[in-house]
Amino acid sequence: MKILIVDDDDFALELLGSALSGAGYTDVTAASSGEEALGAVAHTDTPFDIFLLDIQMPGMDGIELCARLRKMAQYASTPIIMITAMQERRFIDQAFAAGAMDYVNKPFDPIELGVRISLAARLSNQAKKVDAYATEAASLKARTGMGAAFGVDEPIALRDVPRVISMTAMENYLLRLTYWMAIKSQSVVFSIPGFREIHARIDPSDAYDILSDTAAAITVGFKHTDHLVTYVGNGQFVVVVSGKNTVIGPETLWSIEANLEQDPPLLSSGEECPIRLVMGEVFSPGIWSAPNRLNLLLRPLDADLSPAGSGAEERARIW
Amino acid sequence: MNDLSKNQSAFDLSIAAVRKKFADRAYEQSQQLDALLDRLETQPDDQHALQSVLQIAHRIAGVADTLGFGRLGELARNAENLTRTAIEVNTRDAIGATIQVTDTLIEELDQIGQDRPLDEVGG
Repeated sequence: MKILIVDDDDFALELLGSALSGAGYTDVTAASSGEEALGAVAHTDTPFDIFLLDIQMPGMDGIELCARLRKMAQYASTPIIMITAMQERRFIDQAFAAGAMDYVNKPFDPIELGVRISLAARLSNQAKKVDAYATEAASLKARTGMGAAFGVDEPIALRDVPRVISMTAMENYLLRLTYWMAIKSQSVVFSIPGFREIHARIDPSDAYDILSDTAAAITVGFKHTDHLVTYVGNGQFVVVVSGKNTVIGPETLWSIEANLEQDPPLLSSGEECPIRLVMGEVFSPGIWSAPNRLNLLLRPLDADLSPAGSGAEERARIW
Repeated sequence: MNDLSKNQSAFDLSIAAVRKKFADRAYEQSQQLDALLDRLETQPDDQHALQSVLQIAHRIAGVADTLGFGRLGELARNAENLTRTAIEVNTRDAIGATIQVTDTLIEELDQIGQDRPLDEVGG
């Protein structure tokens, strides 16, 4: 497992190196700035499997470095763990929005770090399989015009949409929130009614594009808030918003649908695919539910999003 | 001994060397902070000096606890938080609070520098 650690403090680099070595990871490269890290990435013969980035560094900070790495196709899904001494939520939110998979608090506990790295190593192996699959799928699509299938209930990672993170990253994000951060959050589900039928009838790459365009429209609907979005499968998206003051209501849904109407997903046939959404009830953790941070992800999914009156049957006929 | 205990032991061994180097540098950091406080006492809104205090405090806060310097870590975190506030609000009170906590941080750094075993002091 080849790991790149980036921190502007040489003591921190040394401690991280020792902790990783103690956990059995010896192929570790250290960089003391974002610029140096990009140099190491550009000049390495074999790609890195995991990145550990300090957030606060002079010059290019860890958040910018994370975003730059994510833009490289090779590192689109490589686990990136942020290391931070900063407990403020805006830094945590920014790190996940930039594409971080997890974060570790400074001062760090070497055992906790080892556990998180081994989880990241497992994710790295999965990511490599997914990338190989994606390359194969692209080649298949080029040869046959058909993309590779993904399950309707699969929470696939939607790449290249700002503030849209994988379900694993969302779980890690929620688990790292403090009690008070959780209590000052809200979440809500948006669902594409009839997605199962849509998914069954169209090319998988078109289904992916529909999900990606819908996620992008949802983020635009929440553009004035600190939020993160994840796709949980079955045409459902969960949005977690920081702050209780944000009003999430019918206007939010209208604004998202207006975006989708203005710029509807295009199928590979060139046809437009009109999408409507159903919004669940807003979940706002109380003193009893806040301790389980994952409620912010799971509770909105309990909402009754039955397709009655949502136009699902009509769409099923169209597709 | 299970894997986790082995990892902890290996880490504890390597930490001793880093801890020594950190104690060696404590005096240097104390001198740097002292010079920055002198500047802030004559020119309280010197943003460059505040940023430098923030950077040093942040670095200390990031490693002190892991190296076993718990009180230093706590003081460094306080200094970091108060300095960040002073940079944001830029009031005399906030800068005064930064100077006060940084003074205590300097005392603790000096203590750590002095507490090195005699065979370490000579380098």
